Amino acid sequence: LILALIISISLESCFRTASNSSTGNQNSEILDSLNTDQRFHHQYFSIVSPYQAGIELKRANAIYRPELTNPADNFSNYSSSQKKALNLGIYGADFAYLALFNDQKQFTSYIKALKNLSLELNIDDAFDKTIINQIEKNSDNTDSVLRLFSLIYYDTDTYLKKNMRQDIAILIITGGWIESMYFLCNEYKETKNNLFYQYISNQKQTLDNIITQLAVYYDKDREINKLTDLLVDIAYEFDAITCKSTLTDSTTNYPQGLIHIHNKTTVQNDSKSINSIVSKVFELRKIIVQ
Amino acid sequence: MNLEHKHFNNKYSKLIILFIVPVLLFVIEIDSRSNIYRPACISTFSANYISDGQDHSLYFDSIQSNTIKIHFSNNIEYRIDACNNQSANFLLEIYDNNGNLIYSSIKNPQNNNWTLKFDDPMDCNLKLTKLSPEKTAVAVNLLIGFKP
Repeated sequence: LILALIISISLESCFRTASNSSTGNQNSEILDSLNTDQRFHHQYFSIVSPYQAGIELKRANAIYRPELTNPADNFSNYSSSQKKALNLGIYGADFAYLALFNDQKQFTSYIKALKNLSLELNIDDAFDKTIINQIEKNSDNTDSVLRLFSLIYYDTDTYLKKNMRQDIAILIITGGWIESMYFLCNEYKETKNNLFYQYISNQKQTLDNIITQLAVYYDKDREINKLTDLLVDIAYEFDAITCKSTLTDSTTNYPQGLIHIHNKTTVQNDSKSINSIVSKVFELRKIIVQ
Repeated sequence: MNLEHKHFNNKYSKLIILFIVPVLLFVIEIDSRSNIYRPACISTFSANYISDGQDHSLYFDSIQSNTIKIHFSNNIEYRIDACNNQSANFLLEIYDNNGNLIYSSIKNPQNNNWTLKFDDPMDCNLKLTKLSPEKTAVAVNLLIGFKP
């Protein structure tokens, strides 16, 4: 009788899960993942991918500085879920940095760190074994590695949002953004290259998007409070920067369907505020990884 | 009697094993797939573009428009897919931060994916308006990515 009961419960739960997952009812899946906190009256936010920053570094022929990444062994130092989530984002950006500079030797240790942190956050399901195997197989193909890796982060974000853990989702994204800013700020500090000055200056909107999403959890979580305060402090420095964009030509639809926006953006900034941003990013990143 | 009982037990043991093993395998198989549901369009997208790694799940009901704040870098080919399983079409409008319209897909409205490139970095608001189907609610996975 007990056996029959177990079987019937298992079957019922199976069919319930199967009907949810494999029939592909996209509408209900998305509705499940929606949260009024995230919707902000039909306003959404996109945070610049940390991989873009890596690509900017490559474009500008930046020197590879492996010492900048958070050592993979550090993953065991993080005890709170907030620190784990932030460092999951940091390790993701580090992995992209290693991939862009073809440092495949370190892949295994960083994948291990990422897997361990995701396991501790109960999101290891997103670390699809098939994708990890594909990454390992294609480790010498940077584009493939980054495409596959971004899919892992997409799955993680989906899983967290579906399970009403948006706070962890935004912390992972914040960690990725902070690490990419850390790489750019270091490069700017070392080279004073105007490209990085421009790139850092253009992060104002992204930072505002992050703060808006973190603000939902303000006063609900002490660690998020502290993080938000430090980010707001950086945002104040950005207030001294003005980016003006003008359209120089009408947009063109090429036969391939490419929409080309001919715009011109001018950045007005002073070295004092950019130096403050750089030092505050360093300070924030140090607090997160230690 | 004992032999009969033994035979009876053996018969049922075999039946139970035959029944339980496939059921358990089925449970394990379903469980291993149940936590992450990835629509096919996301896998297709990721075969060509580096995703921003964020799940932008939008819902179009009686309110037909959703807006997304985004920063575009220069000289990167961006791809935006309004992935949905209802063949819905959308109007894409791009506004600058002052609310000035800088692009509208009005001349080519039967679409749900766009490729964009900017000469200079720009902060934008993307506004997506559902054109069809008019009276049906549509759930969209808005995919944002770029070409390496």
